[in-house]
Amino acid sequence: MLRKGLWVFLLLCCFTAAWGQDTFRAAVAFRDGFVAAGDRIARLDAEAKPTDTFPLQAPLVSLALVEDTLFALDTAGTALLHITPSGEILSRKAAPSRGRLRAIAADGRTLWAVTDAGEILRTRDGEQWTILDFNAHYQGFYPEMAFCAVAAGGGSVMVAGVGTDKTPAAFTSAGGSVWSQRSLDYAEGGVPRMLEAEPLSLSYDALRDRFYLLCKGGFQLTLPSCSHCNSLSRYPVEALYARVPLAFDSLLLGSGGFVRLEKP
Amino acid sequence: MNCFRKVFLAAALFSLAASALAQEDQLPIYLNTSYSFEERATDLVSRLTLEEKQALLGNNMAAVPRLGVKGYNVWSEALHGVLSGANPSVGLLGPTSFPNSVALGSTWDPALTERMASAIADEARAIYQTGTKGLTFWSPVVEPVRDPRWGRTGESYGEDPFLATEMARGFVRGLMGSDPKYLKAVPTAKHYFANNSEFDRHVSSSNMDSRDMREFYLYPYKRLIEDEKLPSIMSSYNAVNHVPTSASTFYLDTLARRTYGMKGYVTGDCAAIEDIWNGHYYAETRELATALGLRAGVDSDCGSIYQRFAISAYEQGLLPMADIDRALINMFTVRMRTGEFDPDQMVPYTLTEPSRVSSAANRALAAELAVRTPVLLKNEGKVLPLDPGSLKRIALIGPQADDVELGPYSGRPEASAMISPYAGIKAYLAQKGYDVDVTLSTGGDIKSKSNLLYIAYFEVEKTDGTVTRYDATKFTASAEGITVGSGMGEEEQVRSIDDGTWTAYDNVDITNIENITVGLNIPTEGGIVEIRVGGPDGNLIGRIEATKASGARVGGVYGASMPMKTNALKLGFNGPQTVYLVYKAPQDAPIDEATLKAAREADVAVVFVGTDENTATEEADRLTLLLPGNQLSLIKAVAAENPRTIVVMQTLGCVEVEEFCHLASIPSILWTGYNGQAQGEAIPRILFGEVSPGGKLNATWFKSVKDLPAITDYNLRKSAGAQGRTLWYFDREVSYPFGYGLSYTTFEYSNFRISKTAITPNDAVTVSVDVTNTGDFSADEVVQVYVSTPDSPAALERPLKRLKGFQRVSIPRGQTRTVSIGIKCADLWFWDMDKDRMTFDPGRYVFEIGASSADIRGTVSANMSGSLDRKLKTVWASADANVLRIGDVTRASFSACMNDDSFENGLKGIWKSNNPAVATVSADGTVTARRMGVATITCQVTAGGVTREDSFAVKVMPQMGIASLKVGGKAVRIGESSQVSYVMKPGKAPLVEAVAADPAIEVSVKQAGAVPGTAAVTLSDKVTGDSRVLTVIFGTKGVSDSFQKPTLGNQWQPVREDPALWSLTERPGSLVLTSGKGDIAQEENDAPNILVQEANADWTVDTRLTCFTTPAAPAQNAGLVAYQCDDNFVKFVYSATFNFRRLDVPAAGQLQLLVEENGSQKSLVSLPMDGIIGADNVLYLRLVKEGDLYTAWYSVDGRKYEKMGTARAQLRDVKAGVLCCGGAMPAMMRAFGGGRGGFTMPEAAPLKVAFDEFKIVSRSSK
Repeated sequence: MLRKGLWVFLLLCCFTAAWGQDTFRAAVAFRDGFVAAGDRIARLDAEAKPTDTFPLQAPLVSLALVEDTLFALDTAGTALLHITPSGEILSRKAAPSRGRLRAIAADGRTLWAVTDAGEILRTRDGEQWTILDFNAHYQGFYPEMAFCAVAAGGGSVMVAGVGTDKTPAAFTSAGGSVWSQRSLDYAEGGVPRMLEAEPLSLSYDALRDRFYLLCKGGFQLTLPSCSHCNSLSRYPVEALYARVPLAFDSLLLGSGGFVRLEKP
Repeated sequence: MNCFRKVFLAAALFSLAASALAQEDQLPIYLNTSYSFEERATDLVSRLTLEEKQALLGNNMAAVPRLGVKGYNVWSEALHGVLSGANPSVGLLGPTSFPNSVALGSTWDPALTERMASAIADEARAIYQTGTKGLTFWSPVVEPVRDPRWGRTGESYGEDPFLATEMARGFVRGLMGSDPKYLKAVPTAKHYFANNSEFDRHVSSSNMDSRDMREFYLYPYKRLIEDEKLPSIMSSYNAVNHVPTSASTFYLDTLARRTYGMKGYVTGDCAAIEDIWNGHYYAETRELATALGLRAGVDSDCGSIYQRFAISAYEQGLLPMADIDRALINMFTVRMRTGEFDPDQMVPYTLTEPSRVSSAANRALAAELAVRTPVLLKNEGKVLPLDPGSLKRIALIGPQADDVELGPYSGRPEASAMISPYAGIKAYLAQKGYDVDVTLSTGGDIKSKSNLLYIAYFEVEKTDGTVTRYDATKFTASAEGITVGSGMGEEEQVRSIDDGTWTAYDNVDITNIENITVGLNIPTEGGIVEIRVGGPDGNLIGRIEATKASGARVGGVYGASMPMKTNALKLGFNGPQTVYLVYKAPQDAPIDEATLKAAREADVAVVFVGTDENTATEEADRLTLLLPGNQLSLIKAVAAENPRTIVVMQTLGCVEVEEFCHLASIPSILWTGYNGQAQGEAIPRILFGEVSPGGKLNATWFKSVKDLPAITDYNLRKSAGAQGRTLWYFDREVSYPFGYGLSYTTFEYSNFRISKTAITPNDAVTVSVDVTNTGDFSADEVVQVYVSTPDSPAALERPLKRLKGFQRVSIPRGQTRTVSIGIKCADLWFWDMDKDRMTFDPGRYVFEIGASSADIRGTVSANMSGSLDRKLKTVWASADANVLRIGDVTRASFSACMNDDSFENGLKGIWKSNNPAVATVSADGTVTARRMGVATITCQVTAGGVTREDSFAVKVMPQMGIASLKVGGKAVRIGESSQVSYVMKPGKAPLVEAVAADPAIEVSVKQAGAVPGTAAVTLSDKVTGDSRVLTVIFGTKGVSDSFQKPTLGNQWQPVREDPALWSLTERPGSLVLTSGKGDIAQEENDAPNILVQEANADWTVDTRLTCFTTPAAPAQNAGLVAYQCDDNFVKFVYSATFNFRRLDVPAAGQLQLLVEENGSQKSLVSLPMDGIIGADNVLYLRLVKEGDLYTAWYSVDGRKYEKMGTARAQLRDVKAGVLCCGGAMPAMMRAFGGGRGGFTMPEAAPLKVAFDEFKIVSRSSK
């Protein structure tokens, strides 16, 4: 049975890849549609249909929209890029961090970023950054973290990554100075379980007031306001890269060119 | 991690905390075990910053490394075993799963429950030692089962509040342990209160009179708090009498704390605080919901509302810091009582080894419990017990024959510990050496037929591709029982869908219909949706099989809808039609022949049937009391094949049995609740007679669900059209009565007696009976005592009977035991709704002694007279604040509740402080902070000959004041204001010097440099990070303007000037402003033409404002402003009222005094102008600045001014001026926007206003 499921899974991956679609690793809602980026950058309409596609100098892994200004990270993670929706780099700010920038997120005028060295950064102008060395601050109290995901909204920010033993973990904060660990437990058929999949990104859905942790293996852990009501779902992809809400719909991006607009 | 590593870690944290505080001269109070837990908790809280406090108000309590406070998850469950799984990395096996509460309730054995809870606490301690879980458990459920359809019936101990209390008492005692100082683990009784239906729990109100409330719903809480010092309760989702319990000061503070005396913490159920806002619509904002929850007494939010909005609630003035502090003190006091902050060697439970989890002893206890829960419902011809020696073949049939159903909120035990009936019976027979052929056939299923589907919408797609969506919740008619709700999700759905129910929709245009899509969620097994036209039995135009069996996606009870599409049958219908969605349960699977053959060929057939977590659970009540799936058919089919059919039911509570319980071919029926991991070990011991069943039903088994009132009806007493509830008031025939249960033996009752026949409420009586085991088996009997009051006037509608005592006794065959049951007469109270206190009916009290509520073997009675001696029961002392600074004065007060649960006013309290050097308390309860440290303030009260006391702790912090302030070398007297103003000529600003009042406080001064300018004196508390800023502002004289010239004077400094929107010529002598889009509201800072001038002093500004139209939605406004920047200002404006729920409905204008500091805005005073402002829309506005105090005045005629209100804001480099803004949609509404189903800003014509003058008089501070 397991083997049969695996074949279906692989066929599905091949099928979507065979479409020749781009694999997008990040997206933001942008003017009644989306901007999605990966090896290339594209404008998608509200139904997730590409309207324009543009080449990029380097693949992008994270996007954030701050008051109509688009920021991005490339795979190097050494700078914050101010880009146009067509991928043109308008400016490049060197990361003020020790570690590589791995993800960015916007909440109002605040831009959040996390690094693989366990730093959590925030700025309101792109010039002045507040940097929390999470691992130093919480040494002995929380696991030492390499962060790879951040999302913000609804009065809080959440970061996620893996500890030194590769165990996933997530933390929340309202202001960015004090962090609480958010348990990644969930129940499956009444059986208590802990998330084991490696996080790839986080998303916040304002309408539903909940975070989503997107992971390798196509796993998505839903993290609602209720702190122990997490639920796990799985998509037929090897990696689920991004989830971007647009009003009631959500754009899902995954490996193998997986693009799905989920409607309620 | 082994224990020693944990101990090492704990020691390391302790020393880390200590070293973090090494700057202090001695061990900080919160780590010093010579202080009380409450003093230590108060000290700890006093050291927290506001952001730390906020992060500690939820379930996931943040770590605070600088204080050595580790992260802590308050949530865990332990209803019948620690909710956890195996964790080999730290050496933990899966925890033991004991029988669930409904099963425990049928043991009628609180001592056994206490042993179980003690074992659970041992396992909890062992798990805690590994650092993977906390010690606070949200168990037990103490709500009595008012209605068996309640989805969480299986989590309760039973129907009668006395039984539920006594069983919960055992649990609470066992979990808390017996150490006089430390808690072994922390029980939380839930769900406070009257959360007895699931489908509507987030939005509904459980309505009742005060009698049902006190006598039934609150009884378990009262007894557990008063008798057992219960340290925690959980406030529920629901409202009671239209007030959310989690927002009710009366329910939480007045009743739980001040009446019953609960010391400890209240946690809100998960999302209960959020429900105040978006479930009950009791608060318009999450900040207000936060404030209501904390002020009412919910100390911790299992959702994340507190942790996101407490600071803004505080900053908006909705919530005093004292309430935040009090919540944290309550929580940390309990955490400290577990020993978390003490050296390990002081805490008796710290060396509990991981091997205690799933230990042999606990496995044995689970097995012992499992044989004491079964209830024998029928045993015609004494078919049971079975003689294994006479059996050649036994057929085990049914979906539970080889299953281990544990029920909710159980840990996941080791697979080897989970014994199914099939495995248990086979092993038992083999072990005993019997050669019996045991066959197994599942033969049926437990597929739920309740709550088939949740339906959100349906879509009609036409041949031209157009799609029209219909909201399924907006039906025009429906079958009985259909409800609408969203549960914990965000999507409104049609719910409570039972087999055969339907919803109808008028005017659905199905012309040229091609496809139909239904947006649905499958909570458990799913069902079939038939789309019909004209009626529930009308023409079928579509059918969707939305079942788990067909492979459709199961979303669970929290799931959102997913679309399922079907081709429409083109039957020629055109135009608008009434479309019916008809819901059907999947067809029952037929009973297979192999099963019937097995039954036929066996000497005896044992059918194992029951319910599971899909039958009913959180969020989902049962809609029927029938056994789910095809089990009823299975029972009857097997019984038709084998005249010796035994039914073994394992269910979450009562099920309808009338269809099979009278069948002669079913001579025996056995029932248990979910019987834990050892259920399969227990069943052969019962079936084969090693142990006689001794359990008794913990609930009435109704003949039919039709005997029950609507599940939303929380009244207990019979009313027109509704039966009474529970054994108290239900007077019709039942299948099995409360307390019922047979045995393999027989018991005779004799020699009934009572210790007193004349009683008062102050007495205690002992009811005694001799019970003789007259049968062939040694067995247990549960002797039950019910009390009725036949002399009570009929109009009072007293209960038919109430359980008031019981005892389970083991009696060897042929022997007699005297059973004596003590009853305190004070517990025989009723609630007097007029006098709001307990009352006792005079006359006969009949004590019915029997084997069930219906099987009364004898009675004794006593005559009640006199009244309860009113004695003081609960003193509750508290202060307006627990964290003070030197010199602060706060008021302490107390309440005194008597033993009849009424309050006594006018009593004298004797106050004392255990540390007057730190804090003194005067005779009237005035607490004065003297010097740094902690003190316990105690209030002693005497009433009714009884003296009781209560206390609270206060922490005194260093004073944040200034000893001296000099400006330009001259001493300045500082009043209440945090700002001192000077009017000067432009030039160099004078030097500002300051000295802190307390040496523990750091002081720094940032000089102004020039006039105009601002000097800032900052006082910092090194411990908490708290700071206070005092500003000295230097400004020049303001320049008035009567707007006679066609151009703006030089004094004006427009912000975001848009010349098209202001004019000095349109109306000569006036400055006319037209609103542009936007405002200066929180993050929306885009309003044009904020016309301001330098005004960095004290001043009075007057203007005459004429509005050409009334400000319109959503937030047009115009008036005066004291302005530092877009994020810091005071606005005094005439504005529109924002109507959250109806954007399209114009609301009357209002005057508003608003303050925004650091981008956070709060409206301090608002005054609707209906009936005040004249038809000319003219207002005279005056804003007076005195330091940081702004006072707003208004007039409609320019002569008589009314004071509007005051605001405090510490602005720097202040400017004064006028503005006219289009207004900003509140951020919350914006977040939902986007124009795709979200909210959009209503269109309104721009607001145009004229300012006829701007008169400013500047001055220095007095």
